[in-house]
Amino acid sequence: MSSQWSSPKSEFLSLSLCFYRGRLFLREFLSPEMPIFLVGILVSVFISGLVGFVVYATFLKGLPGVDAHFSLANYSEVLLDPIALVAGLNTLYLGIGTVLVNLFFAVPMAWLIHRTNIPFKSFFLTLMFLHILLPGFLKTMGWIMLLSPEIGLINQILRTLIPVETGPLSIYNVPSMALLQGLVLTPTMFFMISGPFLAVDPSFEESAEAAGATSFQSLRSITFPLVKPAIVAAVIYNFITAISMYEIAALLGAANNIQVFSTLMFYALSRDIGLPQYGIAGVYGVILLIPTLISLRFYQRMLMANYRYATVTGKGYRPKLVDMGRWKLVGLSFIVFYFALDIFFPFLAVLWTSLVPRIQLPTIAALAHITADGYRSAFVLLLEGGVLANSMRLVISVGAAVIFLSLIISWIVVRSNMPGKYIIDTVSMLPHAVPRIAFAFAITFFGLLLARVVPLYGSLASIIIAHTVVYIAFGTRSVNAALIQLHRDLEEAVQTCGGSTIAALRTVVLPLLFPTLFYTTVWVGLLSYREVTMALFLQSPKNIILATTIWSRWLTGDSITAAALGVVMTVSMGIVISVFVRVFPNIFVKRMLAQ
Amino acid sequence: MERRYLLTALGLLLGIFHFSYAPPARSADVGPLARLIEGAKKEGIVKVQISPSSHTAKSMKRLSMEIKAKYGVDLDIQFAPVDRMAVELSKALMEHKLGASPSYDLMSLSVPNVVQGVEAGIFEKIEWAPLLDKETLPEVVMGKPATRYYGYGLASYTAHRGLMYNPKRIPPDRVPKTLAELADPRWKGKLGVHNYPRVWAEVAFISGKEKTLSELRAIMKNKPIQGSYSDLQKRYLLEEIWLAHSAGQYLQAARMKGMPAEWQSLELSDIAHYVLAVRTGASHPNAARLVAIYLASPAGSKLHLEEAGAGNLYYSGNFENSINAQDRKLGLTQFAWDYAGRMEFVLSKQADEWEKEIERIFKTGQ
Repeated sequence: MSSQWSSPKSEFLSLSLCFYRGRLFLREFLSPEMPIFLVGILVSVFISGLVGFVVYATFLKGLPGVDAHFSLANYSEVLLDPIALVAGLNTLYLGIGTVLVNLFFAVPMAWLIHRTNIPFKSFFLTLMFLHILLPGFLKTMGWIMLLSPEIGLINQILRTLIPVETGPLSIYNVPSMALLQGLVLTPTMFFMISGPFLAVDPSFEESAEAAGATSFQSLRSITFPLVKPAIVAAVIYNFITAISMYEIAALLGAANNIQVFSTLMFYALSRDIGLPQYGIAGVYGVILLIPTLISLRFYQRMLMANYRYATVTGKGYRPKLVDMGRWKLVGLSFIVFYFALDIFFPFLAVLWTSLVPRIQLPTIAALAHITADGYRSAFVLLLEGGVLANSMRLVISVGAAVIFLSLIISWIVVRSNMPGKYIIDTVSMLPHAVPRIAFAFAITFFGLLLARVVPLYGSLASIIIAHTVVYIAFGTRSVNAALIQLHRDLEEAVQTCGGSTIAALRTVVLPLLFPTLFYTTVWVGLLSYREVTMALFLQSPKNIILATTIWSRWLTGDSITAAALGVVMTVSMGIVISVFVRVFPNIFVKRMLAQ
Repeated sequence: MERRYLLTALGLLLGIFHFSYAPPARSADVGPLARLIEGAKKEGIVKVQISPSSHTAKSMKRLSMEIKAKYGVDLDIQFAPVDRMAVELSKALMEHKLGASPSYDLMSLSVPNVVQGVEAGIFEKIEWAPLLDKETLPEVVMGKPATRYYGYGLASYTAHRGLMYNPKRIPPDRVPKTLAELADPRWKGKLGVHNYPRVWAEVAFISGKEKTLSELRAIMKNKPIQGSYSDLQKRYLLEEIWLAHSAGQYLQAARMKGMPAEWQSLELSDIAHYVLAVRTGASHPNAARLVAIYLASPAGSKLHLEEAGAGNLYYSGNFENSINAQDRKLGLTQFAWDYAGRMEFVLSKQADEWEKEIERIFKTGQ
């Protein structure tokens, strides 16, 4: 057998194959789209460098660049830990549970808001954006106030009816953690699938209905299959997010001995004394890469058959809304139910916390202590030290950079014939699986290496780069899903008329992708506004932002100021978004519906 | 007459010339503090990594104003609060090894972290005694003269570790006095325990490994809420727990917010010191020293207390000093960082192993 493989004939064949692939690559690469390929490749190389450093650090015991030596100790420490298996199973249940809750809420809401004539759409969209401005740790504390077995308000009421000492309900278990994480991540899935839902050509549904299918049947067999790539992308993205989320797992799980990977990783990093074990955090990242890569393979197979999902063809495409009729109230109640759980109750808890000197349950006696001190210090903090200006720069830069790079990568992956394009897609997803702190550590390391040449270390730019790299995974999932729905005919029509690829992108693709690009930019900007872990790690006197300020206040027990900052930001952004929706309805709602 | 005027004018001119062009007094002629002040004036800026992290821009402005009032130096204090000390130390070590200039001139860390930094050469040894004013106690200087770590920093605040409890719920005579008593089933669901394994390893070093670990295992049967000091504080304020094994500054924070809170040290008076250390190769070394000597003084201690809720056992009029007095009254032995062998233990491989065992107890409850 072996002689057969090494025969001159097979060598000639493999050489020819290499030569052919090389030629194919050069032909594609030297095409007019070369600048796009070049950017895509450079971004991939940069991300690979950072991820590579994180993986390299997993083989080092000690601090890289200081006292590290090569070893497999990090792997043996994690994999031989008796609790790893239990934590792994808990992590899996948590991830699956979270995604199920996401699917339960996000998919029907996206359909109701984008494809039906349900009222108050712009209000619901505003709420969806505002969700992210309420800090997760404050929301979780709100739920503890309601459902702690010892002091939860709901439990206190139930105990008047049921004779038990504690409980009867408890929030300290994996299903409750999954429910809360599911509520928190629902808007992310909603925004990932919004663009594709808007782009489904209603003529398909009409044809099905003309053939005798009921509305439900056409929804099940036409609409959902067409948005499947977007839903799959969102499921993969949210699953990975869910298994690496820390806040809820720490407050509800680890505090009560329920361990998941993210809390075990935190043990390795949050030492009071002794150096953080970045290598161990990286090992958890490598473990998380396995489901990421497997699910990506499945997703990329779907992308290969992208023509199946093209619904915007330019051939008489016109959007139309489904009349909900008497089901309108049911749909409305469903959306209101979600917002009550995700925003209304937590916002009440945050509002209450912002008005009392210390975090406490709302009681009649506590009303006597209501104060506006939190708001006073919140405004002082907002106006001092360029915190607000830094945050604005961060949000705008990250939103713009992510959408620009995501568009380029998605175009390469979905549209071009560039060899190895799926490697670029895979690389763009990797940062999502890598623990954020390990990523920030990699950026710090490179920043320090280059400190004499590039003044990156300690600058706001270091946070912007970190956030951009991490949120490219979100950007590319959203843009891939939307781009897949645009038929190639549209760009080919421009090229037939003598237009270049860039012209086709500018005149056809960009306007048609507008809803997705808009949602993605705003959402990524808001994700960046709220991200704390990397910003804290990269913090210096020059780049302090609002998220780290709120976190510091919370950490030091100044809950009143942290909550007041959350309320101020939510209300002010709520007003800004509402005004925009009213003044520029074309951008927010009508434009999306008119696509 | 004219000649007299001319001579007077000449004399005046000579005088002006002398004062304007005479060489400045040699530095040996003025005291080290005066030289430090002059140096700090020239630098004008200082980059400080401050702890406790409850310090804000407002408190740093106050610090700047008080330094100006005392020393006449107008300092632009650029600061960032310390979130996780070990992470900040790791960044400082990397800066040093990779040859980058230090991000901060002055860092505020716990003693074990400073000791690690000293071993790596990132902190500067300073002759503090001539710089301190007469109100500042010499005990604030880290270490004792002629010992390994002497002079590498100034203690700016301290924190006892022990039990904070709600006197409204638990009368002082019923409060646990030992670690073992926390395992009493009556505290089930009412207890919070910090999960910093290295800190518990230090307790084990002082009290005995087997004793401490078996007591921790017994406590875990009560399913206490685990978390950082900050996490426990929230649960305490919500009255979800009545007892929190925590650090002194959280007692003060609870009291400042109107929450009933008392202190009970368990078997020993365990004290953590937080030290200001000047970075080797700092861009503004004089300003850094000036900020350090101010924050270690009684006036600086007052600022720490009022702005950030941190106490200092060396000065009266704050809770740390009161806890210290209470512990002395109870006859509890003091264990600070300089307790024989403690630092060597903290930095040892043995501590790594103990830490892992303790971590497992917290993760699995066994």
